[in-house]
Amino acid sequence: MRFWKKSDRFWWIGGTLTGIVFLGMGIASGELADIWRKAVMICMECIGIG
Amino acid sequence: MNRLRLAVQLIFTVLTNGYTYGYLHGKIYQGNLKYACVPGLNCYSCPGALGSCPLGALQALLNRQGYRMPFAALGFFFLFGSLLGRFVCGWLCPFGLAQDLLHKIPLFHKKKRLPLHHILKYGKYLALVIFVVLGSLFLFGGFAKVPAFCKYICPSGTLFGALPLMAANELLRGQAGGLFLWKLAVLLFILLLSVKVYRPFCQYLCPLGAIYGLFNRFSLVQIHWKEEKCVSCGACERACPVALSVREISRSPECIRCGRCVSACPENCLHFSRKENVSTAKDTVC
Amino acid sequence: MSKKCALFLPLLAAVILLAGCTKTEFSRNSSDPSGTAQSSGEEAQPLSFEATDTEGNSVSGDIFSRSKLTMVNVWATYCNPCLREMPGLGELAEEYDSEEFQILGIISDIPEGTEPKTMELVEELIEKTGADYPHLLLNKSLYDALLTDVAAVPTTFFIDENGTILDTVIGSMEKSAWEERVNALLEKE
Repeated sequence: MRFWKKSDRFWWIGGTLTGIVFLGMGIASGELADIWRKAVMICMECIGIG
Repeated sequence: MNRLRLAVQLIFTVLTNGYTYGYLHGKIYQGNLKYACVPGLNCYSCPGALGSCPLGALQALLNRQGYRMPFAALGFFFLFGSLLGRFVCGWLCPFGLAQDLLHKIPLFHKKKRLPLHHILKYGKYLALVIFVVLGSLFLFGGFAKVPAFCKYICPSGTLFGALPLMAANELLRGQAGGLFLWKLAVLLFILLLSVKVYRPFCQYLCPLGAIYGLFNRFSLVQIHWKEEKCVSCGACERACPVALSVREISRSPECIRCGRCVSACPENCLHFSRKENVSTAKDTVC
Repeated sequence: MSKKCALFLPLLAAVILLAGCTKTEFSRNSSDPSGTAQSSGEEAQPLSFEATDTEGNSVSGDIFSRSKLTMVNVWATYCNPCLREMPGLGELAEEYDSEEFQILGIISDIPEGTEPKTMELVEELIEKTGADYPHLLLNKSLYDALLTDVAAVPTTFFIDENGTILDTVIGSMEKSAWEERVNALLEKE
């Protein structure tokens, strides 16, 4: 394992911002709605039926 | 630390799976909270689940027609990963909690790792690439694509989704077939194994753990090591339930930030808070 | 530490139980005590709704009066078990006189006003499965009338000419099993 560098401490900011941007893009293209629609019906395949 | 972690695990699991009506009637929550994902492996077909599963969300997006980047799912991964890394695994995942509890059962000689650990630990990346990604992108179960990890493997879905639903919903019970038996077998194998081995699913199979592990190196939440104070006693390594070395603590993709090393260190070298490690002149009391 | 948790937990539990009662646009009223729509004749008022089918035609609750028995099959475009049984349903629809028995599909993940590209996928699926009967797109009135209790797809309702729900089936079945049910229900009429 590499030793810890001081510069490492700021990568989380970039990652979090990327996450927020991606989420924004996802919301804009209706992906959250797609997720919701899948999430509110019991996924029969997921619980082992069909 | 251990008691605090258990309390957080229990509270968070209850908090994110508190839809009592679902348990009683064999239904699932259908409200707006499911626009958001919880951080851990929490099946959205669980009758109690109030949020969506990030891995399920990823597969649902990959199941769409055409091949598009699943930005929303990636967004959740980057967000949770960059802030928490595998702290999610150690403190916020219901299936992690289940394995933790099972491992406490005083049966069998306990082992931290399986033999061939250094190879098997890549199993979670295999599960991620083959089932979650390739399976959901290319596997058809008929006319529609299949959430391959959810369908064929996910034990969290079987334990928290299938079993409570089947118990409460007679109509569903009658429909169970071969696939259900397979998933049950997978679940029972993992549950049984976790009595002897520490968190086998998390160490060897969980694709979500694989994803968050990639963020461990750079996440905000870390366990900080004050190297100067270390007397190389090895107490942290002995305490670590996944047998990490002191240099691997927190940075390794295997570390779930359970904090046992923090409690074990006699010199207080390890802390979740960076502040504790900043001052060099005086000893900070934990 | 543990004492605080002991106090905290019941409080938290109370908050969570209340969370189960949130009502939203398309979500169910979770404080509904009756739960399932299985028992016959539980619906006092006839089912009424206004919806559109995939061809653009308007469909209302009057459609039930056209047949002695209507089979309403709720499916979703991502749902393999649903798509697997639809060819059988397509065949079933042909085998009966439309005055005796008709099938109506409801596409639970496609709301009215969905973009043309997705509608093409829907048409393709209907064609591929040979489910040659009307399919309704989702809207609020349809949701409130029939889908508030639907927790899984496929869910199938059997409705008589008065709009009363006679039977509910969750999950897909073989065509022969459906035939049995249909015949049994038609005999009772």
